[in-house]
Amino acid sequence: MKGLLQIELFKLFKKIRSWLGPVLIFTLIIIAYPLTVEYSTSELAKSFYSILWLGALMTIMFSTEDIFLEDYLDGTMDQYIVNNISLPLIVFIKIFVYWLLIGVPIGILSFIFAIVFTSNFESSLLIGLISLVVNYIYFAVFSFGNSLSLNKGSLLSSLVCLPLVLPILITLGKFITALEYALNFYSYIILLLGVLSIIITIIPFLISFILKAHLD
Amino acid sequence: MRNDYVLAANNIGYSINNTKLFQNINFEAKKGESIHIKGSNGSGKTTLLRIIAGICSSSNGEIIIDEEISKVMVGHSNALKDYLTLKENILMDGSFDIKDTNLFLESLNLKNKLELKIGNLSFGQRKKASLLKVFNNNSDLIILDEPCVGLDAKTQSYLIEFLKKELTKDKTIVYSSHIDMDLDSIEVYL
Repeated sequence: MKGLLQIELFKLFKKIRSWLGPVLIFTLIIIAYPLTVEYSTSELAKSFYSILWLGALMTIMFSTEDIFLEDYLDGTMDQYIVNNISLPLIVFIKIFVYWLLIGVPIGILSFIFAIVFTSNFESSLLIGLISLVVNYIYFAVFSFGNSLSLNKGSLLSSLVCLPLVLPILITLGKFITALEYALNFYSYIILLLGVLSIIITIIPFLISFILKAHLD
Repeated sequence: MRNDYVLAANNIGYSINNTKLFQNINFEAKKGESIHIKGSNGSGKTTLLRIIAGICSSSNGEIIIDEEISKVMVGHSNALKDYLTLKENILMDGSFDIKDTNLFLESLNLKNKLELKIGNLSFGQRKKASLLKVFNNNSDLIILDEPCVGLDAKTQSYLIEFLKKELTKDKTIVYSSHIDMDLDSIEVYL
């Protein structure tokens, strides 16, 4: 597993455009947003979270477009099967590596931007941590979508997956409201962690089943 | 399948959208034997090799492979990453023996191409690079889909001589080729 993780990490790291591009696009969205509206500082802080979550969502949706396509087209996926390498393991590692190189920087940037926009360290730290959890969920859901329409244009499938992440966005909205009004927000964190644990367990098996069907 | 057989195909058939690509294919291969799958373009040679490799499933029949054997396959897709150098592609495959790899790289005239990205290599050089998997592998079952395509005469001879040696080491080879590889093979027609 360590060897596979190193290989997948190396492959994605070498494709600088695939991981640095999304991170820069996310940064651009957040920086460009206050330049396009004439809000007061307090209004800006209120709408900042919406832009943050949506920015991360759209960035991750586009960044997962070729997560499996390259290996499928160049025969690497065939080699995994010939060499009896577990497909669910490969899927898990791929999602994890994408999260590590794109999701984690977005989470860190979310924390930094939250400090800049809200000037509250504690809530910003929470935003950063929640962003890390939610980003993994986004990666898993959109990877699932891309596996569904692997060689038929991944974008369409990503759009189909958008309704699946709407409950996450709603939960994030409720979390922010609870955070702002000093209500109990832990239930939302537990809910998101629950979704994450289910997704980590189920998605690799679902995707590998779909990928095997494509190879057939 | 008898005990001394490594691979057996029993009434293998494959259909695409109710159109039969091939059907009732039967063969068996022992250690040290090779199977040459023959057929015209589009007859299903690649599909049959993929079924044998376990990548896809047959519509009918079954492939029985000794569970203890290891496989290596080189097909039309070379599993090489265009954005990585030849050296990086080689290093990604942990099973490669550095000493042996150097020997094969010299024989295939690829030693001075190690720092070049795969995307900058010619079709023939990419084919040679993908065949390194076969040259530097200790698998019991070697599956090759048109291995000679894109190779110059010298490399073709080198590959054929290598495969002959592998047969003497009790390896089993299944391949499709429009070029006669002179491996004294059992022929299967699609």
